[in-house]
Amino acid sequence: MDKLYKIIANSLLLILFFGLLLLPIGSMGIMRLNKTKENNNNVLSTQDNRYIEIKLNKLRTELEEKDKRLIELEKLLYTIETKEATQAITGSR
Amino acid sequence: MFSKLLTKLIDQAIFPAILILTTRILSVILVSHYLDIRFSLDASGFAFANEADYVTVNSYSTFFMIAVLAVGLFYILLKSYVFHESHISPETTARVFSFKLPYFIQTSFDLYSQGTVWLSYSYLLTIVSGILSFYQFLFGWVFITSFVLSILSTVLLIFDIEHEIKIAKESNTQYELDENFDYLEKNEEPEKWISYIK
Repeated sequence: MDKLYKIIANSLLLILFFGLLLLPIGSMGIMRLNKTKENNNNVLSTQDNRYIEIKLNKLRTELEEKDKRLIELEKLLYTIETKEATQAITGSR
Repeated sequence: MFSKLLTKLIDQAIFPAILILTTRILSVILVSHYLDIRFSLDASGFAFANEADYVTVNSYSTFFMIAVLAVGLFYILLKSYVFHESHISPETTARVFSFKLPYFIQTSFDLYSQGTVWLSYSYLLTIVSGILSFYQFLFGWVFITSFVLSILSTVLLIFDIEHEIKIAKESNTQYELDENFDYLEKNEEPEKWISYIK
């Protein structure tokens, strides 16, 4: 009987030891994928967000450069128009 | 009633189990925060919106677990090589006692039970990271790091065990039993002594 108690007690200890060993490894399963959201493609990943941010910045810079060019062209056009108007007034006199 | 070895192993397994579990939870939160990755927390754990985020956080979090295991194994190996009771130098012993750190000096039973537990965690982590890496849920380099750590620590611990066996053999030779009764007086009856020893 005493031997049986010993076997049971040590088996319980062994189970406890394996439980302790598996506990932190089981913590690998605390993370999961939210599949419903993924299937709908509603949520973008961080990499996607970064890519979009970089692209937006690039586009913004390009737009700013084009704006500057447009202003320069408008100025040039204004100068030409002023010149032509002056010449027309001078010619009519 | 309870096995001394099993009790010792359970005793040594509690601390690393809590440490690794805490590292896992904290690292998931910190890595997600650092990389600006959003997750939702519910009863089943941390839920990530897409696979890329999941793989990134999982990999770095596992790497932190490996780092904690590496520190623990390094500490055990340091103790078994430098502060092992069986082969610690007198100079080191004096120094350890002068720093009031006598618990640094440990017996083979303590050191090898600790080593077994930490190595078991290391191998289990290697197996799990290998499976996750195979199914693309973890970066490959995390598995390789874990594998290298396990092998390296096993080899280093085996070297120390071999050294320990050598010391044990050397010390045993001094006290060999006189099994053939070569040192007994000739006029005595050997049978009498045999029955006496038995």
